[in-house]
Amino acid sequence: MLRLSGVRVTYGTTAALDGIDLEVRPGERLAVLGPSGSGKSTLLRAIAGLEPLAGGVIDWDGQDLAGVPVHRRGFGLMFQDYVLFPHRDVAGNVAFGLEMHGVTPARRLARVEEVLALVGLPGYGGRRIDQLSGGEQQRVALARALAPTPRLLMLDEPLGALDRGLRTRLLEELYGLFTRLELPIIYVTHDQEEALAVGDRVAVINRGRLEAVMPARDLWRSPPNQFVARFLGLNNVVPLVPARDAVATPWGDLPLTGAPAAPPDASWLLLRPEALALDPDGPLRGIVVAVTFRGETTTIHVRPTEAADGPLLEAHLQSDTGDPPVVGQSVRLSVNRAGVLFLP
Amino acid sequence: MNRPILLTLAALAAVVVIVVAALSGIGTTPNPDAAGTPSPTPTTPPPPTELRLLTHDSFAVTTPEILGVFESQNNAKVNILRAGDAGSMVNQAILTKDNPLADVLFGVDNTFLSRALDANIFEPYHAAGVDAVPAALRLDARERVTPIDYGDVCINYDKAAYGDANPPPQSLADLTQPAYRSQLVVEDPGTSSPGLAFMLATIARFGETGDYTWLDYWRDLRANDVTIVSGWNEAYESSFSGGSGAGDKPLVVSYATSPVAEVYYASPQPAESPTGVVTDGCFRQVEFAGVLAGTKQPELAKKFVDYMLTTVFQSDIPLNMFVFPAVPTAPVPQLFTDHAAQVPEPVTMSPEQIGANRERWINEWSAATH
Amino acid sequence: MDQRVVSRHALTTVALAVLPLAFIGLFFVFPVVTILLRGFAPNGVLDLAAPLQVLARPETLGVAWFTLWQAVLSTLLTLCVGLPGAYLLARFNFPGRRVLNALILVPFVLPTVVVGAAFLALIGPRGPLGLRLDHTIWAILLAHVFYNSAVVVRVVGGLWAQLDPRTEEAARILGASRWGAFRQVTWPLLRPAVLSAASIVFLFTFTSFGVILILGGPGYATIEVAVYRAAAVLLDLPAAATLALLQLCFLAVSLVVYARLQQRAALSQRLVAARVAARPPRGRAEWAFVGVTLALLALVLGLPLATLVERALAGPQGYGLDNFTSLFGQSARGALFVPPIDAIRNSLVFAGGATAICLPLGLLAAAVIAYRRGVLASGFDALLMLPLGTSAVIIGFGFLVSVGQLPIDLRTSPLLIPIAHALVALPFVVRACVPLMRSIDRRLRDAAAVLGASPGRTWRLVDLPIVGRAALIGASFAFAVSLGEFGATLFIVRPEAPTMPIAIFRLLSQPGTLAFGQAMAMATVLMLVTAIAALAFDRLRTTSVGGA
Repeated sequence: MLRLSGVRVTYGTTAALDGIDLEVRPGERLAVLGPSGSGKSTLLRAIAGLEPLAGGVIDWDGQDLAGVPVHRRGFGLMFQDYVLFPHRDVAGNVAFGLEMHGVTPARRLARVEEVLALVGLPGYGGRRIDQLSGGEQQRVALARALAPTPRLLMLDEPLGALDRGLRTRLLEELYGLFTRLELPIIYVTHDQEEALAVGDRVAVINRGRLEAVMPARDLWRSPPNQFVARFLGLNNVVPLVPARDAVATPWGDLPLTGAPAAPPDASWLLLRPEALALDPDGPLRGIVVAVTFRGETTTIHVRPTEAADGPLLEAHLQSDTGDPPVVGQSVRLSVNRAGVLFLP
Repeated sequence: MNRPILLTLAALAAVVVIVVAALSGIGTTPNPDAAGTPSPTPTTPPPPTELRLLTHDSFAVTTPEILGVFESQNNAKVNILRAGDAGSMVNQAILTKDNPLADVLFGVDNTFLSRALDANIFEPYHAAGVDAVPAALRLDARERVTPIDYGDVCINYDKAAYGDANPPPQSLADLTQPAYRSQLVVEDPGTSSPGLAFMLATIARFGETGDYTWLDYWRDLRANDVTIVSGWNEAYESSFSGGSGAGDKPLVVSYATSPVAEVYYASPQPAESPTGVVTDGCFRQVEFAGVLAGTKQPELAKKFVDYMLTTVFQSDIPLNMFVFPAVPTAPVPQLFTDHAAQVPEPVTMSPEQIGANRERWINEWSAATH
Repeated sequence: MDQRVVSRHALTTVALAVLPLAFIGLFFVFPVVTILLRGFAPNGVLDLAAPLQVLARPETLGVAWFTLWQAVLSTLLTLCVGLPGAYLLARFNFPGRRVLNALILVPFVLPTVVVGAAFLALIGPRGPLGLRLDHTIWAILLAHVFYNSAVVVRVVGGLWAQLDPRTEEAARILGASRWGAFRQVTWPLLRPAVLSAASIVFLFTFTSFGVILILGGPGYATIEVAVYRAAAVLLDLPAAATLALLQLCFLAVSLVVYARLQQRAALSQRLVAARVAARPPRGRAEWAFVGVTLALLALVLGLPLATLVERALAGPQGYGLDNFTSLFGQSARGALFVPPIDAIRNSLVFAGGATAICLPLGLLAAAVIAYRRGVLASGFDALLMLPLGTSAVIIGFGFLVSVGQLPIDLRTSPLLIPIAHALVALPFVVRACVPLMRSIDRRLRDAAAVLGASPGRTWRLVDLPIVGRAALIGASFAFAVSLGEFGATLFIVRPEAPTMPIAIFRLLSQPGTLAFGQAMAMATVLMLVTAIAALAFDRLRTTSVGGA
């Protein structure tokens, strides 16, 4: 099991990682989610031993990794944009770790074939790197990381360089692959969809600090603060303005009868988009400015009636309920009480 | 598709051409056909004629005054061309004799004279004023070259290393004595002019036949731990201990006028030179100038040779090139008379003999000293 | 790898190659062949008796063997000093790095007379170290390392700085130690540049002349020295021609070997901007490496330079700037016809001219060699290297006997000097550009082509910025070579426009402490001018090709 305690990494005077406490349990899939520049890659590099720590401890099963050099940690890292060895072919790349560990050529051959089959590239051993497509390179990079049987696998934005369709497909494949592997996996990404799909737990990182580490579903249902909420794509976050028995929103006052009151430290209000529905008697009202058909759901953006440039309310409506609203239409919405969240 | 490439090529070619054209403007451009062209209008003076002087790297006069005198007297422009050391210069003149590089050559000395004369690179000329030059210096009866200056190659010694108790050597033979063991540095005659001169001095002194030949002398020098270096720079600047030398050897093959330079270039100038000269076994070097055969400016070239024998030029020579003027009546600066060694009987050898045997002697020397 | 910039038409190859070929043909092949013919057919009839006799002499064999082994040993030693230096400057960012990068080029520039004087002051009689190495092979080897480390540091370091450091990190994570990562991953990618640099160093040390004469003394002779003696001293053209041809044969063989080693296709690889790869050292091991390498460089490169400066500052009354101030006046009474300061100006002008001639020709030649595989390209490459391996005396004399036959008599023109310098500097520009040109990721070109760029524009917009960096490295070498060029210049007939090395040489040939001090002062100025020029080039490189 990997444990980080108070880990700090600095570049000059700026702290790329500022006091990280994290655990990765055996067999766990941990997704690390954050915007670019948040320190996600630095986190992986620090675990791999490529960045010296300015403070804190990283240990594996209780053993402090401070004195352990990079090549003896036994971790696997798949780099963003793969970084394959151009002077070796596919088999040469995949076998590299095995060579370093002194595996005999015969067993190397067998293992390379095995791993290539695992990632879906059977028989690709003799190909040259510059002849591979992006998706193929990604799989070779993965195979290379997996071949020497690492005790921890880290992936740095593995799907970042791929196009959307490929990404979705590969995400499913990766997930399937991960369920078959028994090693802990750290998956770093800026895409919340990937993070939620892959991770048992999701750690949200922002400017070198962890904002939250929670199981995926819990994170989704109850984001702990407004940064995480926004980052997860829940955009209806407005300052909390209490009114009598209600809260004031730019789109109207929301009555809060018979429900737990806002906790004293809450300063933000989140209205979950999927909890909004069109309601001719609803307390929220506005003018529709955008309608996006997304298949099962239709997303509408609604601005306050009085303020032409006020904040937009995003609602995910089921497509099959009645006629969709049109741009410019005046609508009224109500919100399911379960979809109203108070955030600190 | 070809067009961008061709355009790029054309641009690059234009760049090269422009650069070449610009650079041609740096030095003077030869104008051999301007000689003697009468000026179209009497009021504008004709452009100066170019006189090309081929010489070695040690040629030095006080410029611009000395050359300026000649230039204004003859409406000429003297263009100096350097061609390495004396030997290299002569060889280059020989290689280009069908299409000479210059009009006048200055700097061939007696050690290379026969090679130059055998190659017929000069036009004979009896210079005005050459009759004033002592016969001992006029080594070419056919006057294909004119003597301009002379000097002596001698052993120099560091005065600080010797005194009454251990006097400096007095003769060539002394150098093989144990008292002077490991003190002498000489130059390789194959690559150094003073080194060659010294070797010739030993040949003239000890001869090639008899009980004790010059090769025996050199073997004895070798046994006495003589140091041999490639050139005068290494010998005097880096191995010699006297004066401006930074080495540890108190005896070096150099020039009879080197002590003058030690005084002249020191600041402040000492009353006495820190180095002295062994006047036995000095080899006389005479330096010549000549009109190159095939020159397009024969008259002007002859005038320049004449000019080199004038008092103006001759008296400028000593403190610039550290040799004696060929014309004995030319005034020599006091510094020279005070500090230069007088060599009563320099060793000489005919240019023909030198020319005929030089290579063989150098090879024999190499064998004896290794 | 499929290079689609230059079309498959042989015509384009010819078009690109014609200018460099013409240059080499006119200013190298023609003169050298002419002088060699004079040696082998002195009276118009082929006479091989004398040449064969020269070859049969035992000294010839001894000289050839000595030349070979001292060149190999010098090359290996130079790599030992240059490779750590290349790594240091490519990967680590520390205060003074840029200055050090420029200073490395300085030894390369200094003429042999100056280096000889400095080394003799250091390890000769009365040397401060108490170590007598003059006239030993060690002086020669040390001087060679001193001279040529710059080649390794710049050529190898230039490529190394652009290798993605993450490739090494990937290897280390997979279980390779630092050394294992270097050996398995970095070295194969670096090898073309190392071979390139080593070939240049070998070439220089094989044809070493001044160092052998001054520091080795009469006991040591390379083929180059033997050619000099035969041609310039004895005017024994048959012997000179034979020995020069022998030298050329040796070099041809080593070039073939080199080409074979380079045969493996150069790899398209990720090149990153140099700034990204360089970072401050971290950890004790890295600081130790930095410290040791800096100490090594200071010892081998810095000490002789410091000796020079010390000699320049020393005067009869202690230390001061007198030698420098006297450079501006009419110094040393006629040794130089112009104030020494003019020599500085002349050197800069000639160096600029040589670089201007050499850069376009070099880029064209590099394009041909990088983009066309096969025998012709390798042959062209070898042809470009030949001037470096041919005796300067032969080239100089060759000019004399051949160039006079051209309509314009260039023999005594100042133009000949930048031409000769360009001839010597051309291989550097080519050597610097070719590895980088070959390494450019094909996908970048594909991307440009897909976006609508014709092959010519692709070359300009994709290759040129990356190649531009290499071109600037090559240009900085060319400029430095020209500034310090002494051998070839010595054997050309020169009008009265001395370059700095010639001026120094003349000053050194004059007796007296003043002349010697001035020579050392001018040598210091030469060092400073080179360092400034190198810094300027480096600044140009990072601003103009910043995104590469």
